Amino acid sequence: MDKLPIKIAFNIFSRLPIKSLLRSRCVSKPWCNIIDDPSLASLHLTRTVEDHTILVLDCPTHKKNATSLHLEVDSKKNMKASKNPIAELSDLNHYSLEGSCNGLLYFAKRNDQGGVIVLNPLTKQSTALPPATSHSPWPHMKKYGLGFDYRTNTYKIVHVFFRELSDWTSYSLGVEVHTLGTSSWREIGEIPPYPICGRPVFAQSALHWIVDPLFACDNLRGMIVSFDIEEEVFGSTPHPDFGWKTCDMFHLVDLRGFLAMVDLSSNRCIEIWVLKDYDKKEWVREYRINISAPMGRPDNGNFKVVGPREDGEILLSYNEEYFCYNPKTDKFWYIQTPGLIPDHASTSQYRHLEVYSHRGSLVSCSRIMAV
Amino acid sequence: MSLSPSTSKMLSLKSSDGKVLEVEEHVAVLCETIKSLVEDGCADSPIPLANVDGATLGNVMEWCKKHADQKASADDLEDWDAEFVERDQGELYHLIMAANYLNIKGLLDLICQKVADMIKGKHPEKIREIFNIENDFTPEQQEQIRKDNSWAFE
Repeated sequence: MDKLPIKIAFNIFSRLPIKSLLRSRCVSKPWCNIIDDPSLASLHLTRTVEDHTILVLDCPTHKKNATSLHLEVDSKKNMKASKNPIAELSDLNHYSLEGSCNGLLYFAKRNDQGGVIVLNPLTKQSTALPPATSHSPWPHMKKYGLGFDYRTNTYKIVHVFFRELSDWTSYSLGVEVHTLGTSSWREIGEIPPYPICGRPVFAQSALHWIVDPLFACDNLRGMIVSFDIEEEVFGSTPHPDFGWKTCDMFHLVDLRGFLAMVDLSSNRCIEIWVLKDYDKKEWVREYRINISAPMGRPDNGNFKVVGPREDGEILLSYNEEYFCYNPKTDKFWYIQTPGLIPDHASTSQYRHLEVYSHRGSLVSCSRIMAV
Repeated sequence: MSLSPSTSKMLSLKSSDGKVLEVEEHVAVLCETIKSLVEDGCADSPIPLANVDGATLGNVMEWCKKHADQKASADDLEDWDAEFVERDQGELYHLIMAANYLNIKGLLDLICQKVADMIKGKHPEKIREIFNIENDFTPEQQEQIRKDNSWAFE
């Protein structure tokens, strides 16, 4: 193996799941060097070996600096987090998870100016971005989105904020972009056609958000706002005609690299539409999850599709409850979560848990900085 | 004089150990390296392949012949490939190097996948044993890596 040219070694290693790679780091020094090489990280992204796994972000409010990320381990009947955290994060108590791109999670400081942290939980490398330069009087309404520019091989983060806001018809937006590895933000002249909400989904070189229902007045052209990472322009992504349905009945989710739109307007089923052909804007209704009694909940609009987990299943949440759907068997069931987080201390304390569907990568944000 | 039913032109390939192999052109051009020689009209006879030994060249051409066969179905090829890669490490190593040199993407990907499958899910001790790799870490360094990625060892 050690005699193989490096290009071939990358070809072989890029076909392994991250867990195998991290374990193989202690085979020998040459193996460790190959696995830590940024070229392997890029090649690995192009393969489909890595499935989505469920991560559990645990923020106990009674402890300071104790946020930790765990991997879901008991994937069948119950949901349980790994005993050993993937990463322990200090100083993240005041941050909220804004989204992810190519295995990098990004967090923004709550209700405050500045502060974005980009983290690869699997390699545990993180980096703090320089604070945004534009200050908004409504910092809690800012939105961030991270995407990869394939043309320049760089990661870019976009920051959408309110310059002014009197009511839902009278406001003005501002947008700035930061290229990871540089030292500053730059304001761009472009703004989204509507204010946006939720976490963005990065698919096909663009970030996608759903239009904020608060601002989705009359002649709404489309419910999905997109931002082309390469061209740095906003647009509307066409979607199926949903008739009278409004933005608050939908959310977006990343389904194995595809942009998907979740329709929660029915109290009998949840429908998931997937943008199968991005160029032709061809949407396919891929899943129809029956949620009629006894599975239904008082308000199905509160269901959320968390994302895919291993074995092709889809994880859903309803407030603090979790459900799983298996498309092969068309089964939908409630998942028990007793002691989701193994806690050595008292579990009676309040903790904020975030369950997240994540496709891991070896992409290193500190290496991005070094470029 | 009798003509062969196949009208495909034959190419002769010469391995590093001097063995000459007669191969139909439509089979040999699965190797991008040979294809460009043929296209540029530089295909001397025999074509010298300095980096591939006779036994490996025979194996490579066996793979090319199967994959040049228009009648073979995808399922059939998959089964055949699975059997084709059941070889010892020495042979796999030579096949990888040959596929790389002759630029046969399909064969290279196949063998790389086979080697990846040999690594997948195995513990470091087992991997060292299979590939005969010397552990050049100190016990402390080893422990640190395990600690850094403890969830991966659960």
